[in-house]
This record gives sequence, C-alpha cells and structure tokens, in this order.
Amino acid sequence: MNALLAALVGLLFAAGTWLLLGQRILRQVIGLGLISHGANLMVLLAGGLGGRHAPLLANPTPRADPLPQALILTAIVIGFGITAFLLALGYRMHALEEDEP
Amino acid sequence: MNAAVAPVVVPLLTALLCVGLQARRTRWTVSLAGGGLSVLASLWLVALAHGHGVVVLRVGSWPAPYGIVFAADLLGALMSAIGSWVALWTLVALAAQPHPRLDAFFHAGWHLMLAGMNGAFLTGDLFNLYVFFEVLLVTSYFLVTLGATRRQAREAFTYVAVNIVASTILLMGVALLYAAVGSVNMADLAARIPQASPGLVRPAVFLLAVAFGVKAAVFPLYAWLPHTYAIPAGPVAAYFGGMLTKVGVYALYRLFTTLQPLHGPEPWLLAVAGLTMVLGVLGALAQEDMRRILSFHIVSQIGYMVFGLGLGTPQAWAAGIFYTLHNIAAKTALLLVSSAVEASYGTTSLRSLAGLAHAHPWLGVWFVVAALSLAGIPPLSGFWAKLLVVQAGLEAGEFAGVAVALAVSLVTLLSMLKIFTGAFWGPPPERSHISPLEHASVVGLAALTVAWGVGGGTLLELATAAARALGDPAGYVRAVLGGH
Amino acid sequence: MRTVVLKTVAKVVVPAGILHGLRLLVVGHDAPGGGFAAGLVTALAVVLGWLAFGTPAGHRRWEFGVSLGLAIGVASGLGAVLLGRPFLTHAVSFVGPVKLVTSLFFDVGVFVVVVSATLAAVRTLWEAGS
Repeated sequence: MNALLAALVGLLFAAGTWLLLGQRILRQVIGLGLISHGANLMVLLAGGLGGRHAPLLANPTPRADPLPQALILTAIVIGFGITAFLLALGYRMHALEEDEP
Repeated sequence: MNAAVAPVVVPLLTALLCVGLQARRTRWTVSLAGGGLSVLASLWLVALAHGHGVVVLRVGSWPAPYGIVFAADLLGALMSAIGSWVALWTLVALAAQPHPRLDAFFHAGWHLMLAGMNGAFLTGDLFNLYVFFEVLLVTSYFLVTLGATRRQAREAFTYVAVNIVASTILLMGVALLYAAVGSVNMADLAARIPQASPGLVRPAVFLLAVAFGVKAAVFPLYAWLPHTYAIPAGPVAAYFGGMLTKVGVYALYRLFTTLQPLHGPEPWLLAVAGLTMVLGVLGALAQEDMRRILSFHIVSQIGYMVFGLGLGTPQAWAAGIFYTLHNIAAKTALLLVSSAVEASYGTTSLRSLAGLAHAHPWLGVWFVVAALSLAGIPPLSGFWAKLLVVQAGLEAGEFAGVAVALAVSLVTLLSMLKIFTGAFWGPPPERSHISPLEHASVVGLAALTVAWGVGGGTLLELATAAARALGDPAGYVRAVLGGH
Repeated sequence: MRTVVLKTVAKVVVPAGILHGLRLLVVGHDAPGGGFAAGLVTALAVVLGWLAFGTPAGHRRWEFGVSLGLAIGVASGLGAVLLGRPFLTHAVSFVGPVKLVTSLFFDVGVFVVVVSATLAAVRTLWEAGS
C-alpha cells in the first residue's frame, strides 16, 4: 500500500509539473492543484498508514495518527484559498487581454 | 507569556479594523496607530527576550510538544521589530500616494503581511512556520496584483506559481521530518533529530533548504525576484524588498542553527552565498533602471547574510544578523527614494531622469546616506556590517569568500554611483513636488543606518547575544520543553 | 440552467444543506465537523440556491463578514489573555448532559470567515462572468 501511494504521489507530481509547464493559465492552475494534492498525500504517508500506538491509552491497538490529518486539513484550506485567488487572477488576465490587445 | 504573540495579534486586529472602517481619515489613523503599536509590541518582546531568554507561549495551555508553541528568541524578536518598523514607514510612504478606491485593501494587506511575517519569526513550530509563510505570501500575492495591468498580472502569476511550488516543497520537507522524528515542534525536533535516521533527515533538510532558498532568493533560485519587484506600487516594492526575502533568510538561519546546527564552515552554503553575491551584482550592472538595479542588489546582499550563516560559528552568525538588520534598513530606504521619485516623475529609468539633486537636495542627501551605507562606507552601519562579515570570514580561513565579498562591495559602490550620476546629477528637471511624507518615510529608515553606524555597539551587542542563543540549541530546547 | 428539476431539488437540498452545515458546526468539538467543514457545506448550499433561484439583488459586502469572523476568532482567544492565561486557552463545562465549550466561539469565527470568503469569491467570479 505504501509503495502504491508513493507511486501515486509521483504520478501527481509528474502530471502537475507537465501541466504547469504548459502555456495555458487554466492548465497551470490545475497543475498547481495536482502538485499540492501530491504533497498532501505525502504528508499522509509520512504519518504512517498502519497507524501508531497511542501514547496514553492502555489498549495497544494501533490508531490513526491525527496530526498528519490536521496538517493536511490546514494545507487543503490554504490550497483552497490560493486556487480561488489564482482563478480570479487568471480571469483578470483574460479580461485585461480583451481590454488592451 | 502572551507577549510572544502580541506582534502577531496586534497587526491582525488592525487589519480587521481597517477593512471595517469606512471613513478614510479614521482608517489612516487606526492603521498608523496599529503600525506603531506593532513596533512597540515587538520592541517589548526584544527587551523580554534579551533579559530573560526565550519567551515561550503555549497556545491554549496545551503543553509542548503536543500543542502549538510560540517561542520568541532574540533573533526572532529582533526580526519582528525591524519588520514592524519597515511596515510602519512604508505605510507612511503609502500615505503620500493614496489610492482612494483600494485604500482599505492596501491597509489590510499591509497589516496581514506583518502578522504573517511576525508569526514566522516567532513561532516555535515548523508546521506553523509553513502556515505563517502562507499567510504572508498570500497577502503578498494580493498586494502585487492590486490594481495591476495585463503585463503585471502575467509577471505576478509567475511569482505566485513559483512560490506555490516552493511552499509545496516546504510542506514535503516538514512531512519527511515528521516521518523521521514524529514531531513538528522545533525544540522537540532539535532534541530528537540527532537520533533519527539520516536517510530521512537529510532529504528533509535539503527540501527545507530549497524551499527557504526560493523565498530568500539565493543562487540558483533567485530568477523570480527582479521581475516581481518591478511590478507593484513603489511603497509595496519597498516593503517587499526590505522584508520579504529576509523571512527566508531567517528561516535558513533557524534551519541551520536550531534544527540542524552547523559546526564550522559549510562549503556548499558558502558557494551558494558567493555565487548569489556575484550574480546579483552582475545582474544589476546590466540594468538602466533605479528600481531594477536595487532589486538585483537585494539578491546580491542576501549572499552576505548566507555567507555569515555558512561560516558556522556564533561570531559569524552575529555578523550575519547585524548585516541583515542593517541591510533591511538601508535597502528599504533606497527603495523608498525610488518610490518617491517614481510617484513624482512617473519613471525610475536612469535615461529619463536627471538632476534630482538640484530639485530635491534633501532627497539626494537621504539617497547618498543609504547608498553609501549599502556599499559599506564608514561611519555608516554598512561599514560595520561588512567589516564583521569579513572578519568572521578571515577567522574561519575562507579567504576566497572574503575576496568575493570585498570585490562585490566595490561593484555595489559603482552601481550606487551609477544611480547617483544618472538620476541625481545633471541639469535640473522640471520640478515636481515630493511630499513631506515621502521624506519622512525615507528618513525613518535612513536614520537607523546612521544610528547603527555611529552607535553600532548596541546593535552588535544584541546581534551577538542573539547569535549566542542560536549557538546553544540545548538552551532553546530547555526553554520550550522544560517545565512539565 | 434553471430547470424545474434543479429548482425542485434545490428547495429540499438548500435548507437541508444549511441545517447540516450548522449541525457540523456544533458537533465539531469532538466529532467530525468544525468551523471549516461547516462553513463550506453551508456556503455550497447557498451557492446551489443561487444557481437555482438566482443571486439576491444588490451589492453585498461579504468581505466585511471575513473581517467579522476573524475578529470573533481572535476575540475568543483574547478572553483568556485578560484572565492571564495563554492566548486561545478555552474552557469546558457541563450543564447536565450538555457539553459547553468556549472554543465554539472560535469555530463560529472560522465558520463566518469561510462562508463569507467562499460566497465573496463565487459572487465576484459570477458577476465578472455574466
């Protein structure tokens, strides 16, 4: 599972980089989105998929590590805001192009 | 100690008030008062950190390393003080070039960016460093594009894309470090990295260094800077040019002192520093525009700061910190002169400008003071800054680096002379008005470089204390993790 | 765009979505949810309403909501400062079976920010597009 997800991270980065190197704004925005999703997935992997043993609980069943999830949520929120900003900026460039040929 | 978070909360609240207030005059009053309060809050923090060591705030009373921690050591407090100072005086310059329709957004942007910067300087948590970087970057995206034309929007898009990729790299660095150590608290990391597997720590440190390197604009990651800084309104460019890259420099200092301390000269950092100095200054030679020349010099001078870091001794770090603080003051003053010229004459191209010294003798004086300081002429702060860096380099036996630093400072002087002869010399132009507020803003920063030149002892003492604290990561760890 | 199907579905989904958003806000302290998720769900429901029935006329100052929400969030942390505790320290108490937490104010602040910011962004792009 780890190897599969690691490959997926690589795929997301590759696709994102390819889109980012293109000419069109919308593709670049999508590319940046894919790259940041790749990073989020990597944070999840960094936390360990099998879970870790919780430090304070008596029963030793492994539990999901909440910290990477909190980190990812924060990163998603930031990515959400930046994507909205990029779309607005892209739209503005488009509108300005019509104004001043 | 809630003082550690005051330089973040004060500008945050000021930004909110500025959006809510409708009357322009009230908004300006609140905004400038908020800027002044931020300066006072950060100076208070400097006094506390100097007197009692690291000021720690465990947000929400959660114990470190489980909760979020603000840990203001002297370096962080000093950076936040100079950041607040720059924000205040560039805001004064903005008052001279009002933009009635966008005023409220400019104010909010100014204070939010300050909140982000101060947060980055004062946080004790690596992930929050990423978050505060985002806060200040998002605000900077916004300030760069405010009122932009098509060409500017295109340049701004590149800036945004570069920084998003850098932030992603930063996030991955944090993730790898978390995988290796199981913590994102900087003190906890500092304590546990030595036992962690180097196979994960090395790539993590490399990723963090690349990400911070993009933000600091070091070789080979500086290409975005000169273009970006040519876009925004003058006061915005001065604010960015003064502070934005220095947050990256601060992060590099934190990375290579607290988290992964250097012991002695680090060849690859020194090589990066040397190349940054040389290529920045060579780029400046090719330019014929005041603002662009100054932008390339930002890059060049980042090299000196990284040089101080790369030498790897507390004495060299003290030199680097002194250099950083001096450079922020001198560079912002120069960019504010360029901003004042642009506002009154509509250009900063050296071909179109001439004779400004006739029309505005005082502006000429401020420019000469700041420019000579930048080039390192006594008795201004730049002289001491360069002397300290060179001294540290000689003691470490890095003669090649010292030679480069001296040669680059000669070329810097040439560049400053070029601006002076191009823009300030020659037949007087058709006189245009330069507002007293612009003069005040330049003086606010030029005065610092004079004061630190004549009475450099105080600043050197602070820089030395800050560097000594950096050289003692164990003390930082005790301050943050101790007491529970 | 505004078909009968969309309008009929929206009549049910919009109020349900807003209610679900508010529920997420309240339970967020120790169950999945919280200010951010609640804000997004609520804003999405409102946007669906706009798609089905059109946007309300007149200029709305959504950015003011962003400031207000941030102010609520910061203020919820400043209460602790006035009592001499670290910033953002929150209190928990039980009234019978009901758990009351002051961190709800922080979540409300986040909620207001997210709803206002999302609606402001959608509205701005919407107006620019039409």
